[in-house]
Parts: sequence; structure tokens; C-alpha cells
Amino acid sequence: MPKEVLATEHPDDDLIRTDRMPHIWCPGCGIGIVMKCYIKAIKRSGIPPERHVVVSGIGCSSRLPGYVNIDSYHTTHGRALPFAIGMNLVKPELEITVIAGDGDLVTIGGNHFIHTIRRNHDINVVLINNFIYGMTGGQHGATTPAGSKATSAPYGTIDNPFNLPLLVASLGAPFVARWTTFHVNQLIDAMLKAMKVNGLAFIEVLSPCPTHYGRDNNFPTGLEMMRYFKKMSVINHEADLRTVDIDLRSGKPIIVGNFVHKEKPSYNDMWRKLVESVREERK
Amino acid sequence: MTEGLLPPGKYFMQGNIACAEAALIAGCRFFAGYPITPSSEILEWMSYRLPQVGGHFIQMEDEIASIMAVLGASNAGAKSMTATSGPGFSLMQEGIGFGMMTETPCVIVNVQRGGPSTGIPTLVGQGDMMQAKWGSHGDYEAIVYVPNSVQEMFDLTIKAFNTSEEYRQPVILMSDQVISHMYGSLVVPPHEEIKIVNRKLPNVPPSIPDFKPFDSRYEVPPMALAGMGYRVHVTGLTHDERGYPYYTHEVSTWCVKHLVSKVRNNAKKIWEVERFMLDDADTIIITYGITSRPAYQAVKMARSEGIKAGMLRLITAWPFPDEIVREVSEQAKVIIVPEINMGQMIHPVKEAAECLVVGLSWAPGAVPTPDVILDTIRAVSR
Amino acid sequence: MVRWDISLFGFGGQGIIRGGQILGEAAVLEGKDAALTVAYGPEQIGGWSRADVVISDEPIDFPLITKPDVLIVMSQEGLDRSFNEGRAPKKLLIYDSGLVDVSKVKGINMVGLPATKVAEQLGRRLVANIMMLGAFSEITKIVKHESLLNVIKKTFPKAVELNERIFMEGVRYAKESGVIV
Repeated sequence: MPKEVLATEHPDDDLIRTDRMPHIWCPGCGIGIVMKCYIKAIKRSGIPPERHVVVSGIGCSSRLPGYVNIDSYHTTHGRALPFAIGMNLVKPELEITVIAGDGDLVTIGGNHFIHTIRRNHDINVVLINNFIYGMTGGQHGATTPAGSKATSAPYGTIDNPFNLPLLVASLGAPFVARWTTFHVNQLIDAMLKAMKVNGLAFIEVLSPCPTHYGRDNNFPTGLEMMRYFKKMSVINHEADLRTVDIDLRSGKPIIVGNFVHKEKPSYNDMWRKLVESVREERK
Repeated sequence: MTEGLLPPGKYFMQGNIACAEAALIAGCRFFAGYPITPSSEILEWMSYRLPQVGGHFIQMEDEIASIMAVLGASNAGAKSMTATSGPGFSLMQEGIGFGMMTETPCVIVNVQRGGPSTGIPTLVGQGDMMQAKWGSHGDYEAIVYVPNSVQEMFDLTIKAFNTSEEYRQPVILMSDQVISHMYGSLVVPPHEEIKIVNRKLPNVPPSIPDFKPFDSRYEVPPMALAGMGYRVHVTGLTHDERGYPYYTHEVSTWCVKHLVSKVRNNAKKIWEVERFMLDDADTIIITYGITSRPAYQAVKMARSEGIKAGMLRLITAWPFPDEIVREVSEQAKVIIVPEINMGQMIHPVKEAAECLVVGLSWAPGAVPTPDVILDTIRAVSR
Repeated sequence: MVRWDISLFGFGGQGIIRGGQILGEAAVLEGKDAALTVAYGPEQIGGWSRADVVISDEPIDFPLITKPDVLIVMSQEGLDRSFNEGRAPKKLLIYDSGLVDVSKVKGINMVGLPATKVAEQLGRRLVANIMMLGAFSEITKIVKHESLLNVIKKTFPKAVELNERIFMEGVRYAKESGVIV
């Protein structure tokens, strides 16, 4: 049994719901690192915490908002994006970040994911990819590398995983990045960039899940996966995104970087223009 | 603010358009939806009208996204609505449950068509009455209005918004293909005579320590919106009054009891029925929506034959006005429940009534004519 | 209570539904109650199209029509379908004489008018439905000419003169027919 640890003081206590500690994440899990990076990014963003909103779906990663002391919305499985869209349209001044897992955002929520990016809503999307369904006990999902074992793939998966940076870039997102939980400073920097982007900013964060992914796939501890991230990651902002798919068995490098960073009118910009032209016509 | 809204006056208007215009007058400034027959006119009309009145319209990728966008918009402070029909209503059920659990006001219009499954998309049905009540999992109390005219498409849409804002929960308007597509007379009263209810917001500053977004001192807690500074946590998980997930049986008991009792304790205020020729009636029709229209005529025809017929029309299907049904049943020899389904609202009627209750189950695709209902009245009153 | 069940039947593009809307609105503006329900074939363009209008001095109970008092028909399919489905008119049949063959119809008051032909001669095929309304109004007196013309004017502000002219053509044909109900 892991020993219960109560946080009594922490430099980020002002943005942590300390009364909700201890959190539910396993030892070696990477989600806490993403939370730490998000809190740092909020602090450095220059946007007051009252204007930041975090929205999630269901899963281990989606528990993150509950621990961050800002307006936080923990919605239904796969539906964080449409919820965030409604909020963003009504209050575009809010800095909305959706943080959820791979199973949530691109497996059950895949349809909302592609359409949200296509329409270029002004939302930051941080997808924590741990290659597996954690909360439900280690079943495979749409990012599980082919051949991986999972509780619902005891003989290894036969489906092909998404190459997310390629998918998102193909949909025209103005910001596309991938980092791992090993790249703390780069991740904070990418989050800060995302908050400044006008339109949809997407960050994939590769993160260890020793309990459910690592256990059966040769990464028995979080530390071992972090070492793998360190060893195999290659930073290439200019990477050809067709080549950045992930294969954790073949010795293929993990390509990380801020792949796309461009200007593009957001959905809100287009809406404002439409409203102006309608009003002009009615005069 | 009445600029750009449908002016007071007399109109000959389609039910779906009357619903959309009423929503705007009620203060609706956000609509998210997905096209589906026979509700699409509401979506189309909103896409035309909302940019004119400073609101937001978005066509989403499906009905799941539509209801979730509506809930997100409402949590940002906008009165929000979506409209759909059978299959889309099924897809929305998970989101409706989330709205109930997070106490998020919004209005969902379900224009009922023939079912099950894809059924008869272009023709009438009333097969979703139980789904409106029990469609999402777990315990909550649905509030459901059933219009039977173009005028009620207007009046009850406004009422649905008001009730939703007052009790902080999704409210459902159950129309049907005929009422929605029908053109009928509509009187829009002067706007200042229309009652508009807005949700209560917290009356304490965000700086107070231990602000509780679901404060148990209130029957309906004031709603802290995103960006107001209260730093709320809102979750579909069973939560305490701080909004924090908690799974003790004590918290679960508080949570679900709170959700159902805010409606149950006020059911008598919410109930609405129409009593038609009931005074001395002993053969009583209990029905709702489009099916009440032939029933008026059937009751009059039965009266002309010397049968003491009458009708109790349900305007709120849920919460079910059980005490009213019981009281009416005391004077009845028999209650007939005509509905365009294989027997749904007959169940709560049977539960409440002290007399014989018979159903008139009519398959979707057509409205029973007055003659059909009259035949049943004759048969049972013998 | 005086209740009239009126069915307009034709095909998509003839303004059948629009005719029903105009009729219903004119009745409502006169202080009557009206209800319009529409039905059409599955084709997106050119299929059959039907507008059922109920007009009553009192609030309408049942808004649908099982058997019309008046059938206004602008296509052969409209006539055939109405008769085959037990919806032959009880009191009056008004038909476009250039499009509908009524030789098999017996025992019903009938008025034929070459609405589409006249509309074409006036340069606008689309206004044929207005001529049908003119004839209907003259024979039945359910709604006043003036009420209909007001709604028509409001509905088509760019073709006021043309519509008034063909409406009055319909009135003239109806008068000449000598049919009363």
C-alpha cells in the first residue's frame, strides 16, 4: 500500500486545491508533471488565474482540473471539447485549456476532436498520451502502439495508432507540438505559446503509465519510461510530420518539437466578421 | 432589451419558428444543434436570427456535441438551447444527465417523430415521453412541457426557460411533428407583460473563504459562472457542496436528494393541466400534445350523444401531476389515455388513478382522428 | 361554429404551400382561427405537394383534415390522389383546367380555370396559385378579397400589380361560372 502523503506547503499552493490532496495518481505517473507545467504556465502567462478555465473529460488525466484552483469543469467522457466550445463562444475573454487523455480526446471523443480543430476554436488542447486506458484498467486505445499488450489485447494490439501531430496539422491547426513529461521546460514554453495562439493550439504530451501500460510492455516503472523518453527523443521543430508516428519497440526515435506555429483567423474572428456584416446589412 | 425581437402582434406562424422566436424573447442567446427532421427549422431559424440579436449560433458535429456546447455556454452565463428529434434526443441523454448533475440551466426541444430507431422521420409520434423522464441514468427529476398548439410552442418555450433558470436544471419541451410543422395563430403580447426569470448569481464576493458552489443552505444554489472569480469545480461525479467528488454514502444521499427534492418540493408550482368539460364528467380522457386536439372534438361529440365525457390535458408531463389525476379519477367511472405510442403516460396515470384506466395506443405516423377517440369513449362508457 | 376544411394540392414549385400560408394568414388577420398542415412526396424538387388549411370562427379543435370541404387542385396527381385516398371534396372542386382532367368526376360543384395558362400569358407562371385563391375567395366568401390581397401584397411586395391582376382574373372566372356553395 502506498503511504498517504499530505502536502502541507508548496510554492504553487495558491493554484492547487490542497484540500483535495492526496491525488489519485499512481507513483511514477506523469500527469502530475503536466499539472505542474500547467500551473507554471498560468503563472507566467500574465493572464490572471480568474480568467483561466480548465476543462476535461473522463479518465486519469481528466482528474487534473479538479486539483487546480481555478474554474474547472470535469465533463463527460470525450465531450470536453464541445463543452469548452460553448464556453469559449459566450466568453471569448476566458483562456480555456482542455486537458485530457488519449482515450478521452481522440478515441471516444475523436469526432469532436477533428471538428474542433477544423473550425479552429480558440482553445488550448493538452492531450496527455500515456498509450493506454488507465482509469478503467489498462485497455488499449487509439494511441496504443501496435503490438502493445493491454488488458483487452492480451495477445498484443493489431490496430494502428494515430499519428496525432500529422492528424492535427492536416486539419489546419495554427499550433501543433509534441513533448514528453521529461521535457518540462519545453512543455511550459509550449503551453505559454499555446495560450498566445489565436485559434486552436494542440500539444501532445507523452507520459508514463507504469501501472497499466508499462507493466506489460517493458516499462515497469515511471522512471524507466522517463529514461526512454530522454534517450529516444529527438527535438526537430521542422520534422516531416508523416514520419513522427510512435513505435516504442523498434528503436525508432520519438520526434518532439513545436511543429506548427502560424497565424490563422479563429472561429471567433470569423463569427465577429459575420455578425458585423449581418448588422451592416440590417442598417 | 427588445431590439430585434419578434414584435407584439398577431401572426400566422409555424410551430418551430414560434418556438425559436419565443426562445429569443426569453433571453436565449446561444444555440447549438445538429440538423434532424422534423426539428431543423428551429436550428435554421436560430442560425438566421441569433447573429441579429447579438447571440451565438453553432452547428455542431452531432447531438452529443450540441448538448455539451449548450451546457458549456450556460456555465459561461448564456441562456442556451438545442433542438432535436428522437434519435438525436437519445444521443443527448448522457449530456442531459450531466446538466442535471451539474445543475446547469438549458432548454432542450424534442420534436417527436415516428420511432423506434429511424422510424418515420417526417411523421408524428409521441414515443419519447418516458425517455424524457428516465432517459439518462441515475436519479434526477425531469421537468417536461408538452405544447398542443403554435401558441403553446411560444408560451411554453418561454416557460421552459424560466423554469430552467429558476430550478437550475435542463428543462425539456416535448413537441411533435404536427405541432412543430403546423402553422397556426399566434398572439405575441407586449414584451413587458412577458414574465422572464433569470438564474440567481452569488451575492457574496469571490474573495470570501470557503465559497460553496452547491451550498446546501439553498434549495437551488446561486450559480457561480466561469470567469466570475469563484474558482468553482464542476463535475458529473457525485460531489459535495464544494463541488468536490466524494463517494461516501452520506454525500451520495445529500447529492441525489438535493437534485430530486428541488423539483419534488415544488411540483405543485410546476404542474400545469387544462381541464376541459370536466365538471360532471365520468368518462375522462387524459392526454397531451397533438393527441389532445382530436380529443377536444371527441369529447364534444360524446357530449352531444349524452355521454358525460371530459378531458384532463397534461401540459407538464413531468413532474407528473399525480394528485390532480387522483382527484379527477374520484369522479370518473373510467379514464382513457390516448397517445401516439404503445402505452407510456398510461403508466403514471394508472399509478395515480382510483378508477379503471384504459389505453388507446395509436401507432406513430398519424394522429388519431376524433372518430377514433369517440369510438373508444362509446365503447368504454357503455 | 363554422369550420371550413380546404385542401390545396399540386406539385412542388406551384406555390401550393405558399397559397395555404396566405389563406391561413388572411383568416387569422380577420380574427378567425386557422391551421395549416403540409405534406409532400419524398422528392426534394417537383414531387406532389399538399397544403391543408382549416379556417374556423372559433378556436380549432382538430387541426387536421380527413375530408376537405373544398379541394383546390393544380395537378392530375393531386386530383387522383385526393379521390383515391377518400379525400374527395364535400362541397367544391376548383381545378386548373389546363392541367387537370375532371371528366371522371361526378356530382360535385366544380369550377375550372386556366390559371397556369393565364399566368404564363401574364409572363409569370408562378402566380397561377393566386388566381386559384381569387376564385376560391369569390365562391366561398370564407375570407374577404381585401384580406387576401393585403397578405399577398405583404408576401410579394415586388409584384403587387401582377398579383392583384391575376387574383381578379380568378374572381372573374368564378363569377362567370355561376357556381355558389
